[in-house]
Amino acid sequence: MTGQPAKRGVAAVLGAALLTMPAAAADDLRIAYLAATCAGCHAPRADAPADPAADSPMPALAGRPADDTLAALKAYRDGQRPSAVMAAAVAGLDDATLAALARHLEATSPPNRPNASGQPGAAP
Amino acid sequence: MTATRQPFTATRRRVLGLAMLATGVMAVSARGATPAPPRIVVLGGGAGGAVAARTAKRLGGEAVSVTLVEAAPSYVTCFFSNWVIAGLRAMEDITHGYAGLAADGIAVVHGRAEAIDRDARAIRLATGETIPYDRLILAPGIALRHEAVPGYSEAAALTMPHAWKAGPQTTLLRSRLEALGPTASIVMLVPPNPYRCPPGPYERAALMAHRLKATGRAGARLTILDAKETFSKQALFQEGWERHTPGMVQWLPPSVHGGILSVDPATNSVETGLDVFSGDLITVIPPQQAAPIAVDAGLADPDGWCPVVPAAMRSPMDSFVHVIGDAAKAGEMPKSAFAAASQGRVAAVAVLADLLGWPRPEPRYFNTCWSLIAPDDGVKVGALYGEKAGGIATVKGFVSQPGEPAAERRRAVDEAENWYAAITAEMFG
Repeated sequence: MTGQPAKRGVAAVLGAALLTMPAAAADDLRIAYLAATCAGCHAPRADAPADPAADSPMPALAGRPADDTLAALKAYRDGQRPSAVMAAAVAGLDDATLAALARHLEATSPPNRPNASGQPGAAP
Repeated sequence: MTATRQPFTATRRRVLGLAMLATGVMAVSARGATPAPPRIVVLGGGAGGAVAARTAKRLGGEAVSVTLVEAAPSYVTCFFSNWVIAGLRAMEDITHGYAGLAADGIAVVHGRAEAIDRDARAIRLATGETIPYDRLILAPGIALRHEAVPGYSEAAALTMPHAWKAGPQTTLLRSRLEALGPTASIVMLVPPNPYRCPPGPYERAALMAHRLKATGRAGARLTILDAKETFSKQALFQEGWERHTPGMVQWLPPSVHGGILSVDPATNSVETGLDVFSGDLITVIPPQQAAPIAVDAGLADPDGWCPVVPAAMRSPMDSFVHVIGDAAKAGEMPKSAFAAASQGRVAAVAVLADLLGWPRPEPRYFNTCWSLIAPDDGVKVGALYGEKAGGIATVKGFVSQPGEPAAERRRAVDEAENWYAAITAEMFG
């Protein structure tokens, strides 16, 4: 019979390590998770055009300027830009979270294309 | 563009450094050797499993080992297979390989899993090989309960195709549709809830009728014998069938046909409580349940589906196992590829948080089901879901409305195509 995972030595030691973990790092997993949910519709495309809004109802987000993304996300959330899907997708997310998400997406590069720091990147 | 922010990977390296150091301390004291990272095994390489495996590897990096066990060397998506049946896509368009997962550093094992040994925490393959896990993400999909329709069987499915698992059955239904005459009659049996892809049968009816009409066979008739009194996006489909293929699709609920009693492949007929329906083509979508490997492992309820704890898609029967996708009872979420992928991300992040001592983000379950009513007429239904009263329930939903402008319907088709590109990129790289 299997039950609850035992709180083994590893958990205790990890717990000790977490006490020193920067708060920003803990938040990063949350933001990375949120960015991954975007990828459910917004495909990372190497051939995405320079103006992502021009080509698709679900533009590629990776590498897009954070200010643009943040403005769009807030407009969807607040009902200033009509999209039932996006209104649901961002419902309940506060400004700080949306800003962190927009920065994360900007820092993520499309496949086969250098990101802002010149390094090849991964999908959001 | 100037780089002022580091991507997640840079910060993650810092966190992982701590995590690896911590596990290192533990393992060195225990074995005096380099520690092996915790093992995440994903069973099933569909939308849920493939997304779970890739999410776990992308966010967990070298701190975890990720193994995907999948019997098939390539995957044919059930989503968009209605497009293939209607001649809008080819089989190769919906067939994908797993090379991208291997390139990510995921160990891809193409073997048939025979059993889950929950006490030993290992998967046993048909070859006898065992694959141990620290956490198992189970994404086994559905089993078709052929026997639930008297007269139907796996053998009968060669005469009366279901095409509810994509592959040879998809090709069979397509070729049978192509071979029909100008006044052919088709009968489609649709199962009770819950089943994979709730709007799927009705989209299929619309696209089969479209194909018949577009190839000079507008005199053909398709009768749906449903096990339900109502269905997903009903007003939209009924309006759409009449607009695009007037008189060709007829939908009958049990209150009209009297209930489905049996099928007979020898005479190509269906007996209901009030009538006998015969056709040139009969397609039977049988009732379903979670795949046998989940049921045999004791992870399913008596109804044949696997319950889950909403916060992490974890099994209430076994804390080392998470169940995602069509096999899971995910509250108000439908059984769709979109939902499975959403659950796959939640399970992957929950497992990482659990194994590495990271804080677990609150899940944001999401789904959208697009359906074609015609090649240029798309509709959708979807929602954001959250944990409510111990279950997964709608937070904010949306659905297309009857009478929308053509441009909006065309846009939904574009969205569906974009989504297909996105989810297959997320699954396969």
